[in-house]
Amino acid sequence: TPSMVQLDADGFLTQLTRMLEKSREKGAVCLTMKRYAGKEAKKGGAVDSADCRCLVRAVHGNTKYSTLIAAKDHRRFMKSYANIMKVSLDSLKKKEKRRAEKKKTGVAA
Amino acid sequence: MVYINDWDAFFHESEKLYLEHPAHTRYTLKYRHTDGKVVLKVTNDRVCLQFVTDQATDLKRIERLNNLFFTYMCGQDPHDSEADAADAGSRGDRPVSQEESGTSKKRRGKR
Repeated sequence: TPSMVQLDADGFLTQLTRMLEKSREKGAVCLTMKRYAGKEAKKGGAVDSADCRCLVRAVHGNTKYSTLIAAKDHRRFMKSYANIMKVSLDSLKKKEKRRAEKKKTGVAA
Repeated sequence: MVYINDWDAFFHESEKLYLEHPAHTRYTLKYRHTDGKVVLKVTNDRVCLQFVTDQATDLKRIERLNNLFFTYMCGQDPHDSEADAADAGSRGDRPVSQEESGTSKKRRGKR
């Protein structure tokens, strides 16, 4: 079974874009976000916010990518991520123009 | 498994769940292009909140939720940095930025 591939932020964003492209025909892309607070925190130790990373995973079929985002990089990452989402999640329904209603109310004053 | 219909309620409950269980709460977004649907899930494996949409108008809202979690999960407070994060959207200027550095510069735009 193929395993998780960990990438740096830019590598992840590149692969995410490709993954979304590939998945247009078939399947689903699943994006997961979780806090990763370091090994000490896993053992039940105190959490230092400086050690916190945002773990992001992208899965499509057998293909799995992940990355860890630190606070200093998160704004740049968020913007790139948002742009990728905007472009890729394009099969959602656009707002319908209410032409029927306009005709009913006739000429606007 | 709870499907919440109201976006504001889903957003609020999701943030609350994370703040109560930051170590165990995860946020997933599932997109199936052929279905034209996005399914959001926020869970700590005990409580599970879900929101489904097929509307493009929800994408801006989803972006806000994404940003909320990105910020929380890398150890920052999204409500502190809201003034800075606002430049990513187009909500206008909010002069509430607080700089915690030693040299606190208050930037007042001159007209």
